Amino acid sequence: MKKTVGVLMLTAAFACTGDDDGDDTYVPPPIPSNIFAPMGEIVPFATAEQREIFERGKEVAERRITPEMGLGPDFNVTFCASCHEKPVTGGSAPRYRNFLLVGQELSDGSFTATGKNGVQTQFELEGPSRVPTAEGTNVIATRNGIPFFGVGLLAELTNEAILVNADPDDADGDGISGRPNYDRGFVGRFGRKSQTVSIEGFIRGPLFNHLGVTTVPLSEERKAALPVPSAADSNVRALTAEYGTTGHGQAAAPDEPTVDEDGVIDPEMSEQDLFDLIAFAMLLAAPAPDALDDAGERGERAFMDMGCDGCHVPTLVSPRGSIPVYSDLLLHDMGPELADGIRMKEATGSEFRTQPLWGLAPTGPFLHDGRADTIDDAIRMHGGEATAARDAYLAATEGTRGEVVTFLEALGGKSKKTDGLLPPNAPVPAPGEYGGPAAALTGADAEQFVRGRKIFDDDTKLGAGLGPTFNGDSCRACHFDPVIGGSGPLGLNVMRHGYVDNGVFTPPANGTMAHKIASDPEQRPPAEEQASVFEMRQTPPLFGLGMIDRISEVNIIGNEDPMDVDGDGIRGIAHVLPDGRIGRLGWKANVPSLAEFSRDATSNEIGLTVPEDATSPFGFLTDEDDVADPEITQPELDDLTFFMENLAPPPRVNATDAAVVRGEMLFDSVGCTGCHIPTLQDEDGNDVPLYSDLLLHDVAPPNAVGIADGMASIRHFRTSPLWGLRDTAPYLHDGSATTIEQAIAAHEAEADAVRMNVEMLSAQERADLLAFLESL
Amino acid sequence: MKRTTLLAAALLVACNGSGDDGGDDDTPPAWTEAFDAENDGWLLSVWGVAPNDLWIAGGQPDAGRLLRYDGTAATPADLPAETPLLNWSYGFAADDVFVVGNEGTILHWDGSAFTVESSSTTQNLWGVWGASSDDVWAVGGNGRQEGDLTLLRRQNGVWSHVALPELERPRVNALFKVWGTSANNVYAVGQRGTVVHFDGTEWTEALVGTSEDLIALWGTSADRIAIVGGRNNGQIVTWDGSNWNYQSLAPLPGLNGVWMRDPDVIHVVGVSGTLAKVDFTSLETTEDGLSGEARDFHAVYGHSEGLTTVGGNFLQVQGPYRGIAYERGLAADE
Repeated sequence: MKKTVGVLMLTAAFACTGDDDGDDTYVPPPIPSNIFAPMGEIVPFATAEQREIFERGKEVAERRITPEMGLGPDFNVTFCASCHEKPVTGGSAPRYRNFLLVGQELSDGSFTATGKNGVQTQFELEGPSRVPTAEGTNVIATRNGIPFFGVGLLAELTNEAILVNADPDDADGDGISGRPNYDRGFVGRFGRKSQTVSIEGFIRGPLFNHLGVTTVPLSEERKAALPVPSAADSNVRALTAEYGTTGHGQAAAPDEPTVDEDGVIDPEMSEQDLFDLIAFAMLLAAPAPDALDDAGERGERAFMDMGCDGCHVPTLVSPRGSIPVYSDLLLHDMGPELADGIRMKEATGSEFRTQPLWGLAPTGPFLHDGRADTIDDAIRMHGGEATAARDAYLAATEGTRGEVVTFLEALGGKSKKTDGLLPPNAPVPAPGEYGGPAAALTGADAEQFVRGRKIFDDDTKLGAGLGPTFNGDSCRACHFDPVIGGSGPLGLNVMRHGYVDNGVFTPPANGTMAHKIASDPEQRPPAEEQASVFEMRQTPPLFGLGMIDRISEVNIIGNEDPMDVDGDGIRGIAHVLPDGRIGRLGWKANVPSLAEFSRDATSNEIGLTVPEDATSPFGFLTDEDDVADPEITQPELDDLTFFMENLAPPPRVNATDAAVVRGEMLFDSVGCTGCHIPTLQDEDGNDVPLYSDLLLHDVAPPNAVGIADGMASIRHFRTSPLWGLRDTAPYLHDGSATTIEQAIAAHEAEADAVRMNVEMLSAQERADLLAFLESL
Repeated sequence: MKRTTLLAAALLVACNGSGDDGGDDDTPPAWTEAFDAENDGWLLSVWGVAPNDLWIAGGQPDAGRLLRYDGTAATPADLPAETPLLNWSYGFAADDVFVVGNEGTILHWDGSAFTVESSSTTQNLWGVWGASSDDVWAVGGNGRQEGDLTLLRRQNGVWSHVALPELERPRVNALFKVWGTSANNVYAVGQRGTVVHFDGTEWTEALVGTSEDLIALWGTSADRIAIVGGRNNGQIVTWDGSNWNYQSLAPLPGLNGVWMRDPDVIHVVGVSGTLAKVDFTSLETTEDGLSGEARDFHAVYGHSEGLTTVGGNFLQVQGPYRGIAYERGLAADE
C-alpha cells in the first residue's frame, strides 16, 4: 500500500509538471529524533514546565484512590496504573488486570452496552460486593490493558494523515479494506476499536467506569493549555467530498460531568489532577526503537513481503514528521477468529483498530483480549483481512518467522521485557529489607530465593496452565504493596460467596470462590448470583511468613480460651483442621503451613494444578483447561515456598521514639495484646514479633454475615499479624478500612471492650498508639 | 490513495491558474447570524406560529430563558420566578403555547401570561407536542444522567403520567422528543434507540435497528418521518409508511435537531456546528455550509421565510453559557 501511494502521488505530480524523468519513489518526511525516549519517559521536546506537569501526572496515575477519595460505589481497580503498568507506568498490563466489556444484542440487530457504560465492574463497596452481570447481557468480551506510549503524537495526526490509507471498498483488491471510525466528525484513533478521538475522553471514561472517580470536563482554557491543545474552538471540522471530513489538532472531549452516589462530593478528581493526568499521557514518548541487526533487517523485509504492512503501516505523517507507529489506525475486519461482538460507534463486532506495534516487546500478552502469550501466537491468531499475511507468515520457515519476531521486538522497549513486572536483573534487596531475605543467603539458597522470586513474579501464560478461571496470573499480581511479597489494593480483592440461612452457611457446590477472569475471553467466571452473601477478601502481606510457619502449634494452642475462663471477654480458638493440624495462615486460619499455602494459592488464585501430595488436601490436581496436569512442578512449588519462607519480616522503624514507646504501653494497657500478642515462639524458642495469637476470634459487628470455613464461623477471623501495618493498607479481611483508625473502630464483639478503651484515649494517646502501630 | 487524488486536484488547480470559484446555482441561501445570542445562555428550541413570532427556549441550568424573535430582534419574555432551563416548545396559536423544561417544568402561554402547570414529575422534560390544545404529550427523563422515563399526557387541562408497555430495549430511562401527525399517530423517541408509537389507543415499541440515542423527529406526513440522533456520530432513521430505515451518517457528527418541509429533504443540525441536508430516500448527506462554527446546534425550525437554527456551547457545562442563532432562506425545493 505504501508503494502504491507513492506511485500514484507521482502520477499526480506528473499531471502538473509534465516531467516524466522524476524519481518514482515517494519520500515521506523524515522521522524526527526528538519523539523517542526509553519507555515511560517524557518526549524530549517537552518544556521545563511540561516536565513538572509530567511528574505530577505520573503521581496521579499511580495514586491509590480510596473510598474516601471517591473510589466506587462500584469499581474494578483503584488506580490508573493498575492497567497501565507493564513494563512501566503508561504501559499495558498482565492478564490479571483484564476486564470485561458487556452488551446486549437485540432482535433488530442493534447493540447496546450494558454494565457501567459497557464495562463490567467487579466490586461494590456497599451491598453484596460482587456486581452482578446485567440482565439481558448476551455479549461478553475481554479486554487487556492498552499502552499509552506515544498517544500524544497520535493525537496530533490530522484526519487526513489517517484517511490516506483508507480503502473501505478494497478498491485496490488487496483484500485489506481499512476504514475509519469516527467520533463527532473526527477520525477515531484511540482504543481497540479506534472509538475515541480525545485523550481527555479516553481518560475520563475509564476513571469513571473502572474506578468510579467522577470528573468534569476540562475548561476551554485548560484544554487549550494541554500539550496537544484541545479546546473546542481551536478545532475546525468540515466535511469534504474528498476525505469525508477534515480536522486539525486534538478534538475536544465530549460528555458531561460524571456523577455518582457514593457520598463523596463530585467531582472527585480536581481539575488540576485531571489536567496533569491527561498531560502526562500526552507527553509519554514513543518507545525508542533498537537498531536492527542482520536478522532484524531480514525480518523487516519479510514483514513487508508478507503484507503485514498493509495494515501495520510503518509510518504516519504527523506535523512533526513521519512517526513509526506501525499502524494505520483504521478498522479492519479480523474475521470470526478475533470477533468479540462489541460494537463501538462505526466499528462492528469483528472490526478492530490496527494495534500500533511500537514498543511491542515488553507489553504482552497480546491482542485485544490478551489471548496471545507471544508475538508469534498473536500473528497466528490473526484472521479476516489479515488472513493472507498470516498465511504467508505460517508458510515461512521457522527461521524467517523468528526474524519477523526479532524485527518486531526491535520496535522499542525490548530492554525492559521480562516475564513479570520485576525489571530485568532486578537486584535482591538487602537482608532484612522489604522484599529481601530475612537473613543473608548464599550459594544454593541465594539461587533458590531468586528462582522462587521469579516464579512468584512471572506472569503465568495460558499455555502454562493459567485458568480456566482465575484472580491473578502470578503471585505478585496481588502481593506487591509496597514491594513484591506485600499486600494488594482493593481492586485485587478476592470474592467469596455462599448461602446463609438462619445463621448457617452453606457453600456453593463448586466452592466459595467467585473468580474475576476467565481464560475464555467471552466468559465471565460463573458465580451463583442468587447467593445470599458475597464477601471480599483483601490480600494480606506475606512478609515474615516463614517465621510464622515455624511457630509451634503448642504455642498457638496455649493462648486459647474458648470458654473465656479468665473473664476478659476474649476467647480465641485454634482452627483445628480435619486432619488435626492447627491452621495458621489465611483470614480464617484455614491453612496449616506455608507449603500448603503455596499449593492452595497457585490453584485457587491462578488456576494451576499441583502435583499430588498425599499429606496435603490443598490445591487442585486437575482442571478443565487443555494443559497437562500438573501445571506446576514440585521443584517449582518448593522454590516458590522457599522464597516466601525467607522473605524478611517488615523492618521495624522508630522503635525507640518516645511516642512509639508510649504507644506500645498503651497498646498493652487498653487490651489490644489480648489478641495481638506481641510475640509467639517458634520451634527453636525464638520470639516471632508478629503481634497475633493466630487464633480465631469473633470480632464481627452484630448481624454480620459472611463466609464460614471449617471451624471458623461466619463471625470468626484470625487475629491479623500487625507487623508491616504502615505499608499494607487497606485493612481488615475485606479491605473496608482505609486507615488504621478505621480498622480499630471496626472491631466489635470480643474486641468491644478494647475498642471502647481506645475511644476513651486522649488525642495525644491515640496519636502515640498509632505511632506505635506504624512502627511495627 | 485518496490523498493522491486530492494532491492531484490541488496540483491541477495550481497548473491551470484558475482562481474561478464561480457560483453554483444549486447552492442554498447562506446562513447568517440571526441575532447576537452570546449572552442568552444555551438556546435549545425554536418554534413559532409565524416567521415574525418565533419562540426560542433555553437558558442555563438554574435559569430558563425564553426569547421572542420577530425576525429582527430577540426579546426575553418574563418568566415565572425560579424557572429552570427550558428545553422545548410547541403551540397551536399565538396565545396557546406550551414550553417544557428541567425539573418537570411545564409553562402555558395564553397570550398574556405564563401559567405554571403541574406535571407531577421532577424529571427533566425534553419534548412537547400535541394534536390539539387538549391532547398534548410531554416526554422526558434525566437525559445523559440516568433518570426515569417520563411520558405525560394533557387532557381536560390535566397532565397525567402514561405508562409504556415493557420494552425489549433495555434500560430506557428517557424519552427526548414527541411528535405526530394526528392524535392517532404519535411517535416518541429517546434513549438507546427507543422509538414508540401511539395509535390513539396504545403505545407500541418499534425496533429500528440502532441503540444510539435518538434525539428529535419531524415529518411531513404519516409516511414521511425522519428521526435523528447520535451523541458522537450522526444517526438517522426514516419511516416511509412501510419500513424503518436506519443509517449512521458518520463522519457527520451527532445530530440534535430535524425539520422537514419538502418530503424529500431532511434538514438536520447537530454538534460541532453541523448543519446539513439529507435526502429522504438515498440518505445522502450534504453539509449546509457554515464553516468555523464549533458550537453545537440543538434545534432547527422552518417557516415561510426560511430556516432558523439555535444552539450553544454545550461542552461548557460549568459555563459561561453561550448561545448561537442562525438563519437562512429556503430554496423552493427544500
